Amino acid sequence: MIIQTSIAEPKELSMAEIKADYPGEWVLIGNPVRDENGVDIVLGILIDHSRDKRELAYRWRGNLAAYDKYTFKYIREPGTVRQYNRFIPFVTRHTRML
Amino acid sequence: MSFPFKRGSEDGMILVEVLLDSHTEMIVMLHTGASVSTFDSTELIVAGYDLSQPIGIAEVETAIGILQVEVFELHEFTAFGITKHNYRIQVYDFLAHGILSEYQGMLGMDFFEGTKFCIDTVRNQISIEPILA
Repeated sequence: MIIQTSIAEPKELSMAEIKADYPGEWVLIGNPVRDENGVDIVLGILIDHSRDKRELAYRWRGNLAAYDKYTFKYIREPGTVRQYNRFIPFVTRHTRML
Repeated sequence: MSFPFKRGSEDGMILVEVLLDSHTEMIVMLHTGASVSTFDSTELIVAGYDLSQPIGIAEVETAIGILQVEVFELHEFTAFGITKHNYRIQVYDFLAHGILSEYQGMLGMDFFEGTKFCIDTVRNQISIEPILA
């Protein structure tokens, strides 16, 4: 199956290169290599990018077998501050099974 | 076993890497105030889950009031070297609610049932070991 993507050929890039090229976008990264804190990506294979994360998810769902692991990353635009996440869950009060 | 974590640069949150079904890596916030783990629904889409088939609905107390979330069972979930099968989680649509955070969910206390864990804020490490009954 051929996936319509804006990336001509997935290639390994440093995170600095990805950040420079795709500010304000979601990137899908294959086989990410993380630094010693286990969180920050140092390099990885840029598979695709979009301003719409969900579009990426549906486009690549079931089509990532070429990668051992993959992850999404939002590239914040330089000079912008992190959004305050108002969704912080605490106690689950009630669960109804369907 | 000890595992590294990152402190959020702006707010000091504890961020860790977790693995969904052996392939989908997520960065989540370790949230000791949450009773159940909750993740962004888009992560489940790319992992192949059908969002129209939740196994339950839950009401969750949050910072902005009571919200309804859907309940799913993950085939396999790994964090801190511990793999759980049929791990029951809550799912929320981060994107639909304008959440562009650097993490894709919250790891709640349910994950740590049956373990002893210690958060070392000096070395930024979490040590965890199962408690044998």
